[in-house]
Amino acid sequence: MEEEIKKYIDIKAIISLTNHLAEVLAKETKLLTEMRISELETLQKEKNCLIDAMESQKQFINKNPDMLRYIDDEECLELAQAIESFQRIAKENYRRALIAKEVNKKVVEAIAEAANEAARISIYDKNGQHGSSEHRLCVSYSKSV
Amino acid sequence: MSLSMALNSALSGLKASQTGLSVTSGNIANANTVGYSRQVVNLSSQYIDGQTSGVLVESITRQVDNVLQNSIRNQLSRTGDLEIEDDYLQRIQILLGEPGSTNSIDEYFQNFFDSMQSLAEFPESTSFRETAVNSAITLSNEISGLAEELEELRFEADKAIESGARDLTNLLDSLFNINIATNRAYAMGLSTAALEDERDLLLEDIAKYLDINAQIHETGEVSVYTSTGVALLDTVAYTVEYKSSTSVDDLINDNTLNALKVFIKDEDGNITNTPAELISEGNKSEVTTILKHGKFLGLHNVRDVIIPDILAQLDELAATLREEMNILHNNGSAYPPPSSLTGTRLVNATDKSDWSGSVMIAVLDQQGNPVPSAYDDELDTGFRPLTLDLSSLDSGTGAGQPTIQTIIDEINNHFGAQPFKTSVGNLNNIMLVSNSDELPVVPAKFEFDFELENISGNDADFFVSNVTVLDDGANDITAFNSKPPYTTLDSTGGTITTTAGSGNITIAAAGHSFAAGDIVYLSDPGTSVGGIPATSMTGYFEIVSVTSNNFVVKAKNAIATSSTSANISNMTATPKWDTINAGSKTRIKDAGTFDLDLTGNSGSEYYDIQVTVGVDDGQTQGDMSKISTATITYRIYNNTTNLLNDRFSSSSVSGEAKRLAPNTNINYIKATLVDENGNELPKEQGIYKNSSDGFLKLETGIEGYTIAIEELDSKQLGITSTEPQEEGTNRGFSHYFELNNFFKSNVPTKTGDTIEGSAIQMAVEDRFVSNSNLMSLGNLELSAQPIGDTATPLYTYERSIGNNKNIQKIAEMALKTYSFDKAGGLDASTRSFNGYIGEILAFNATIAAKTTSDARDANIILDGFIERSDSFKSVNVDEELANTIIFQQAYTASAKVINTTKEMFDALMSVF
Repeated sequence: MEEEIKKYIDIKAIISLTNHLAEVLAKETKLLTEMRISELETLQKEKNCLIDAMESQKQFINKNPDMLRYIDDEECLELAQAIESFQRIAKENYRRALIAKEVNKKVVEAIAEAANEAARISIYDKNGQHGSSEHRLCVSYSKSV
Repeated sequence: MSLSMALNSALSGLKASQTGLSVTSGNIANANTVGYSRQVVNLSSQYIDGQTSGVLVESITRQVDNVLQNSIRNQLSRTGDLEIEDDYLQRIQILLGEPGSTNSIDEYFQNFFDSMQSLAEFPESTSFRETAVNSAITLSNEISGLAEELEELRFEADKAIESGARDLTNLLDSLFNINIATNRAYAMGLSTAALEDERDLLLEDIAKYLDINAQIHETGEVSVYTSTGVALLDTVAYTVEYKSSTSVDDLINDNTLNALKVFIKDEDGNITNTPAELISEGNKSEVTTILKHGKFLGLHNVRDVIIPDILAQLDELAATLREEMNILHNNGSAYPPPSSLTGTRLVNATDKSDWSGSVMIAVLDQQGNPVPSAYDDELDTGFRPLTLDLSSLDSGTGAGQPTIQTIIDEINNHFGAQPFKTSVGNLNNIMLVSNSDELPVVPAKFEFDFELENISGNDADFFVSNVTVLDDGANDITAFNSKPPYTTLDSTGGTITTTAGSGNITIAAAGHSFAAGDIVYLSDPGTSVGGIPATSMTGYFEIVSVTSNNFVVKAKNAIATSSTSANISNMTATPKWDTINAGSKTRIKDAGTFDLDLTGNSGSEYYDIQVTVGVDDGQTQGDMSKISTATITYRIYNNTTNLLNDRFSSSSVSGEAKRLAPNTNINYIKATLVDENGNELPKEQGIYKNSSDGFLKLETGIEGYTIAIEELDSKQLGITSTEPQEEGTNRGFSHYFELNNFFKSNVPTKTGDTIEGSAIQMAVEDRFVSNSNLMSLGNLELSAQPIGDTATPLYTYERSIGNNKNIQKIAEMALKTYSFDKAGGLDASTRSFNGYIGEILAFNATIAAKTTSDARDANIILDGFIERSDSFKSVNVDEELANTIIFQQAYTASAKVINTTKEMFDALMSVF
């Protein structure tokens, strides 16, 4: 029975997956800090792939909670270390991503505000009438995304 | 709407607007004749292989830069308050220490309780007492020192507001000068770029102090307002001013702090407008502000919110410790006990409050044994403690509402110079007690009851069968306004029925409340009935049987010769007045009083009140209880005041009463009111009439005598019957007067302790610092009883050296939970002391950690803005929108990582 379950749940694989994802997140954090945005984009695919793998492991564990009983002490220790390290890196990555998004949002808002301000500049139109431009730039940022 | 859709929409909108923008710029370009146009926007399309790839914003750059500069300033303001708060919170964390670390407050608590436990194990050890007191001193010093350091930090923040106000005024002055220079350069057509750079730097410095709204004019000049609209710079530079506290005591004493104001000053330094308040005057939570960000807000938060919150938590901790410790300490005694106790609560003799329960006050010798009684017939019994029934004390407005004067009088009545005592049966002393306050009154009257002491092993029923009043000419002027409950047999007198050949007589008494077996005193019928002489029907009888309308007694030594019924006028049947329990000394006022009508001679020099009493001690004589009877005369002098509750001893006795003089005239204890120097307050006619407030002092009258108090169930209930009402302290007698507090009261006023200020004023009472042997370690115990069934019990109490009951309770405080009120953001809770300390430390550590994180994040965002602003050469809208997508994707994925892994890791970690 134990062997049967172990076919499906390989704790070593989970540890490896965790460490790999941690590496990707750490790399992404570095890119975010250095604003190497084009490289950041290339990392997303790998990141999503690893998350999907993690998701499938999670679902298996949820369906088979008993299998956790077969994890030995050595694996426990290794897993604990991996998790601790991962959580620290993930937390920092999340914070950096949030900040980058926030700063970028401000920049886009600044552009929109400046452009709209410029569009409102008092002008003389083609008919020689004094008034304000009605043109508004539609730079927006969906907060619901 | 999805992100892609939103961005596509934005992008397409932006692109669609390119035409409009081009037209706009074209119009502006066409109108570029002097006086016709303002600064314009220029956008250009970027093409790659003939395809449009985006819009390059060119001359809008400066405007974008302005918006970003504004963002930077906003972020500087946000960072300003967070950094200030973070800085102070980190310093506070160092002051508070970490739980379990050597110098943390929980360790001092633990040491305190440990030393109390050691002392509980060896209560006779002087060195352990010394250690216990020292640990308490260290603990209280730590708490007060911590509070003081926190107040110092508040003072520092307060000073920083003042220096910040000066800096800000200087910055505004500089900016005003820049405005003048910019205006001049603009008018002369010179470049204002350098001035604008300088202007921006000044604005950034100003923004660090408070959240501002900077309006850049066409000329390059700037007007500055707070974000809430208070002008800081327009056509003039405003002055920002704050006068800080002169010393930390202003903050400790909660003095009103000044407001941070903005106003215009003329050349002579006069204020020429109505000042606006950035931060209001007040203290702690009273202070309000219109500021949303910046250093000033941070300093205000530190000074008026963050540190006061921590102080409130410490106050709650200190007040609870002080209260709980003092409750226990007041309910015990040292070995040997002290020779005097002086309260620290300010009281006035006329103060009156509600009380319930009783308190015990004992006089002991240096070995903790009862001191000798003042009467020769009590050599074996010792002097008994006073069990003062506070619930029955009456100062004229009802039981349980005594004045301080009444309490003092009651203590002195018991412990003062001992009077002649009058004993009858097993009542050791029968004292008449006045319920009138003065003589004479109009109409002349005198109300009284008795105080009775029973030191035998049996309860005693007390009867008063007759009262006669003689004036100074020995004339009988007896008359009553009212008497204690007795039974008039019927309206026309008693009906006595005899049965021939029987000694039983049936007495009609409609509505009586007697029961078979009761003892009743029958007054003289004045005539024989059915052959039974009057003397056989007079005196004390045991009721044989009852019906609803009559009762039957057995005539004394007589048999009826005929069956007869006779009406007897003025015949009464008197039940017992009250029962005095073995070992008690009590007033019987609650069971009724005699109210004498003295109008027969209202001018008599004195009145002799002759009271015929009977005492049933449960012994039998023949076929009924033995009743000891006596007539006791009490002489009450006319023209006297302050009589209420005064005791009167007999002037003469007859019958079975014994009258005994004391062998000494010492005061065992003297209760007084004293001033702060220990001097007794002045008295008028024996009472503290019209005197100032003072402190209750109990002092023994003989060297070597000591005082020990047990709170029993005494409780001060406040003032409920008169206005203004006052909430009760629920403290016991000693604790209320603060006679034996271990920790000092923080407010020596009539209102008593407050929670606020408890931490900074936390201190051990000085007498323990100089003499640790005064700690209350044990309790009074009833003296060992003599052996033998017939031996008379002892009602004395003593204090043995090995008694550790009280210190054991004190040590057990470490394990108990207490109710802590809501304080400084902490909800009300029931915890142990260490639990509450842990809560304080964790709560503030969490706030500190969050503030640190917020400050760091704010700084990172600020750095981001600054970096973007510094590198601003042009803005590519396409690129920025593309970045938005990438950042959003990264963020969404990271959020998913957190969510996905958390659940899985929680499951995995559950097996560890």
